[in-house]
Amino acid sequence: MAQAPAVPVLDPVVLSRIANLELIARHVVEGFLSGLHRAPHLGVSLDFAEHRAYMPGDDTRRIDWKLYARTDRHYLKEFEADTNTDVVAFVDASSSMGFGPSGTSKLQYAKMVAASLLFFSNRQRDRVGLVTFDGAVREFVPPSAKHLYTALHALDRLTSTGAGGVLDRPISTAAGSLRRKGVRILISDFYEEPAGIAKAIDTLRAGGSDVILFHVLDPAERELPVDDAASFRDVETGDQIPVVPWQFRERYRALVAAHIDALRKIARERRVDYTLLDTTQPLDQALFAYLSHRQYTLRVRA
Amino acid sequence: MNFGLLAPIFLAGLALLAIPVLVHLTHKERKEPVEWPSLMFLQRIEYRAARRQRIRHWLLLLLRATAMALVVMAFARPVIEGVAAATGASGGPRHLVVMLDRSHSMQYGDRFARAQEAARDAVSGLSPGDRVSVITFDDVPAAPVAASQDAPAAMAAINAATAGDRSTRYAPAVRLAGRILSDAGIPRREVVLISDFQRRGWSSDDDARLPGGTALRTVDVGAADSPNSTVGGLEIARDVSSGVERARVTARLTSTHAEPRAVAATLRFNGRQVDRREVTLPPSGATSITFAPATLPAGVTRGEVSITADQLSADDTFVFTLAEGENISVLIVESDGAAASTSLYLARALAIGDAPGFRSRIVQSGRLTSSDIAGAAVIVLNDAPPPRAELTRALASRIAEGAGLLIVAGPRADDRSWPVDATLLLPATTGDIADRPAGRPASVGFMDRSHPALTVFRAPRSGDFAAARFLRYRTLQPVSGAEVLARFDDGAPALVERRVGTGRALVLASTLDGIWNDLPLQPVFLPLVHQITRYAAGYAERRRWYTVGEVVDLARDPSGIASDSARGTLVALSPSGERTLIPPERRPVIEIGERGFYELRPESGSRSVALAANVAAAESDLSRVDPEELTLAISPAPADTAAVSLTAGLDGLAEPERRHHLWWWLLAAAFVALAAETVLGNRLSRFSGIA
Repeated sequence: MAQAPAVPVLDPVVLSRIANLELIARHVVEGFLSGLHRAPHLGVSLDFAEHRAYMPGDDTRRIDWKLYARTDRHYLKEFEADTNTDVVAFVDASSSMGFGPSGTSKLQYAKMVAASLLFFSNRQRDRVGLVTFDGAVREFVPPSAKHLYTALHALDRLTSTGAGGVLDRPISTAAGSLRRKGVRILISDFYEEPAGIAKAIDTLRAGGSDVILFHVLDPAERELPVDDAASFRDVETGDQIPVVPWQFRERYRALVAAHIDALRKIARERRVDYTLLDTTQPLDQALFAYLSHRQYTLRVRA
Repeated sequence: MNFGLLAPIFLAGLALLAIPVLVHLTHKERKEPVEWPSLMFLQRIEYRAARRQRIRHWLLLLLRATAMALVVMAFARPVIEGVAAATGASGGPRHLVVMLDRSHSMQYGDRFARAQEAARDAVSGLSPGDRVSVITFDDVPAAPVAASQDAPAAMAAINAATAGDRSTRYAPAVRLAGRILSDAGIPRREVVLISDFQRRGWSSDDDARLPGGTALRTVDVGAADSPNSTVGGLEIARDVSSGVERARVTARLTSTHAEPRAVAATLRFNGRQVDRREVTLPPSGATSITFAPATLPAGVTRGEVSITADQLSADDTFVFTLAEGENISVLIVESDGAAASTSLYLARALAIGDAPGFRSRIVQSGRLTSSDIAGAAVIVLNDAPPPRAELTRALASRIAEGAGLLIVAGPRADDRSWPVDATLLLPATTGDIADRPAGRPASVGFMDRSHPALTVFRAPRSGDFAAARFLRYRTLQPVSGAEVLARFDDGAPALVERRVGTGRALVLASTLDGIWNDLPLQPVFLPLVHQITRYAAGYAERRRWYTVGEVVDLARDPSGIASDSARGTLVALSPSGERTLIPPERRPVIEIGERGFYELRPESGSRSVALAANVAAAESDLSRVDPEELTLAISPAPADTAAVSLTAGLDGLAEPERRHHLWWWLLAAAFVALAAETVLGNRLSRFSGIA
């Protein structure tokens, strides 16, 4: 299969479209809130940001005495003033995500989506984190205001070589390390029974986090455009079955459509956002449509 | 607009179109599994085996078939313009070859005039751009105009042609026509053969065909019935009576007229009528007529026998030459007191024959004079002692000038009495007499039958020398430079020759009187004496007439007109008055091309030699060959026509094909189709796995 062109993780075209929107968390997230997010606690963020010179009138409790001992000068600790939400992207890196006859593999597309959202979130002064997984967690970047590039690097080196598994297992593993609620972005092709997906969603929603689902599919997975009878091999399990495409096609399309409908229904029931992404669609189109929808639903819910 | 193909055989490649169809139909399953992200949904679908294959990608099949068809058509080299037929169809210049028979038989009636008219008609039908060749032929073809666009020149050549005296042969003319056609390289070829189709002009052994693709048209100016009378040949007997030489001429006359024909036969010497006879020629038969003996004028006589002229008058006259004194003078020298029988057999043998005749004279050795020697062509010392010294010198001088000497070594021949300087004349020294017992006589054991003196016996069973018995003979010791022509059975030389100057000296080891041997009683005696005498005299038979078409080597002419190496330029004057110079550095040969008398003489000199020439007797046979039969024989072979129909068609199509280059466009279209097939095929087969 031809390699998908190397798309920069941060697509300037995507960013220019998203820059007009604000990512508004539907729920008040834990941490320090200033600006558009409602924080559950008022106070100072526990996250140290930087030092600045003491000026008369500042709170002396914020003087860094250790630094004074070293430098004989008074400096104040600055903490994250606007504590927005933790935006953690969960990116499915199982083997099925490597499928991409249309040009861009699903994983590549997912990486772009995740990077774009994390970057944008970081600009909104959200703490961004990343969890990559297949059957288990592959990489975990804790959410932090300083972890954008760590997350981006992790995304950049992510490959779809792992075997798949139930979604809930790695999600449960990662979710257990996330203490604060926030925004959980799950990007996957969701090749699992809707019940299992629902369970994973529930895991993500635990603690009041806002879940956003991005269902990434290649058009071929929806259309089955193969003509010749052949054996089809599951890239994750290695199983093979004979397929006569012209006999299977209609039934297959119907099953895929039903699955998508089931996921939409699950998302609707749990009040999570579900967006079906086509890897042939431009990224900015897909995210713009989501963020517009997101902005609308936040107003409605609020 | 017509469509043609230069190489239609490539259309067989269209059968290959079945291949992509078969591939599309028979391709059952991909060999490689398709890499699929998840079988989650596919596993829920019940599998049923495909019961019938069908063509699904019609566009892909169409592109593949189209590409293949375009390649096949490109190789077939299509041409838009009309196909040029192999035989004279329209389109493109043609090459017309007019073959005009100018042989002797075409002089019959108005044949040649009609032939010229037909030739002019053929040339007048030329179109601009056409080429024309004119071939006039008899037994030797000539092409005064070859592959030219100058129609007036062709007309002039036709008008200038005349019917000659030579025989008919079609094969050389056909080959020349073929060569001209092939060299010109024009595909449209047409030959017009204008002739009276004389049967003798073509033999089944003749292998000559026109090149493939040539259209042959015949114009028959002959007639099924062409009665003709001829003077077929002569026999001339000469005799000398009372010192006067006369010739008796017998002419053979033939006729193919259906009725008896009365003609007048006339004999002329040097244009003067000698005798005239009325004779009736039998229908489709022959007869002979003998004229009264006529005295030969002095010198060379130009003779002529003619009959009443008919439609073909050229063969109604037969010419010949006769020279007075065409006899060999033989001087037989006997010893004084020789018996009468000594030269009996020899003289009797020399008295017989007239081609040439021999005039022999016997002289006793005591009465021999130098004038006797000077007047003889051959001197036979028939068991005679050597001449006196001064006569020996005269003899040696005469021999050296070209006369002949025959020494018959008998009991009286003893070369020890020859003067010393005369021994240079002798081919061998004579030794003792060898006696053979009666019960075991010697016989001739070896003969060099290839030697001119004995060539008359070369043919098998031409002479049995083994029957001659030799009881006595002289032993001979050949001198240096001498040649032994015959030996006895014991190896002893029997006949020895020595060249002396331009003359010849021979010595025979036994007598000719029938005493030492019985050779005179053998049948071979007469021809042996004649041949040895002719050889000794250096006699070369002079042809009384030649046949048109012959080539005469004048160096061998007995007249000696061209045999002298110091000769100057010779002038040959033909019967029609055409003058040909033969310079001394050129071999003196002339080709007899006309009937009548040729005259040869040195450019500076008055001596002249006449040569008589007659039309070949076969040319007077006017029986015909069916023009269709000849056409079949010389037309291109069917294979050549089929192959060169293709070639001619190819040649005819080649020009427009070169202009249009359709094959190039077809290949380009095929390339485009293949490129489209590749793109479509890749797109349709993209789902074979994860990259």
